[in-house]
Amino acid sequence: MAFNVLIVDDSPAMRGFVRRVLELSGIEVGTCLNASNGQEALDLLRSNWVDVILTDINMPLMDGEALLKILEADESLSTIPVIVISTDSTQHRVQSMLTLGAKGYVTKPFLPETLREEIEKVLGVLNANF
Amino acid sequence: MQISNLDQLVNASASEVLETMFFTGVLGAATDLPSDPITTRLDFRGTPAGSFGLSFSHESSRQIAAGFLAEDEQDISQVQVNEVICELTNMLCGTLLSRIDSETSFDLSHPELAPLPDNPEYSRNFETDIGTLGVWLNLGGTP
Repeated sequence: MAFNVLIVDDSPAMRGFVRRVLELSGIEVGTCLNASNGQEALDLLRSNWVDVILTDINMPLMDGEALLKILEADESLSTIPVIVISTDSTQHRVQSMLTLGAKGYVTKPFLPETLREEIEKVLGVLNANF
Repeated sequence: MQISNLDQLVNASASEVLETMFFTGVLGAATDLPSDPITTRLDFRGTPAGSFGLSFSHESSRQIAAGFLAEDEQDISQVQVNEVICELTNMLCGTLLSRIDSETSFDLSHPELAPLPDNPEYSRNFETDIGTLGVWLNLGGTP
C-alpha cells in the first residue's frame, strides 16, 4: 500500500532531504506533496488527500503550531496524523506540539532510521525495509 | 545571560549536526577564519534571545550542499548551496539552544545570507573534513 505524504518546510533543501529519506526508507510513497508554510499546506489539503503530514514549526506566513490548531479544529482534516520535524528539542515545545495534536516528533538532526521509525509508528507500517 | 560552558555546547552541537545530517566530521578547533566565506545569520527569541550565524568557504559550502542534497557538486546551483547553508545555520542554532536550555522553547527567524557582525560576543572556528567552519553568537535581544 502506497502512502501519500505532505512535507511542510520553508527550506527546499530540507524538503528534498526528507523526501529522499522517505524514498530510501522502504515505505512505499505514492504522492509526495510539498508546501513551504502552513497556509500552502492547507491549500493543498483542500484538493488532495494525504496519509501523513510531516511539518516544521518555524515558517513564515503560517507556522507549524498554527497549522496543527487548524487541522485539529477541522473535522475532515483532524484524522490525518501529523509528525513534527524541528530543531527544537526542548520539553516545552515537544509537549506543546503533542498536546496540540501531533502524533509524532522528530528532532533535527536525525538519522534516516529515526524518521522512518516515527512514520512506521504513526502509520502502523510493520514491514518496511531500509 | 552568561553561559559558562558555551565552548562545550557549541562543539557538541556542531559535531552532532555535521556528522548526523551533513556527513562531515569535526576535527577540532581552528584558529584561521574560513576564506572567501558564505556568511549567514538568524535571530532567535526565547531564553536566551539573540542572533547566530555561520561562515563557511564557498568551496566547502558547495561540498557540504552536494552531500546533503545527494547531488554532484557541479550539478547544484548557487541558490541550492545557499539554501543548504541556511538550513545548516537553522539546525546548528536550534541544536545549540536546545542544549543551552532543554526545557524552554524558542523561536528562530528564517536564516539568510548576511555579513558577519563586526564584533560578535562569541565566535568559534572548527576544522572539519572539508574546511573551516566559523560560528558566531550574540546574546541579548527581545526574549
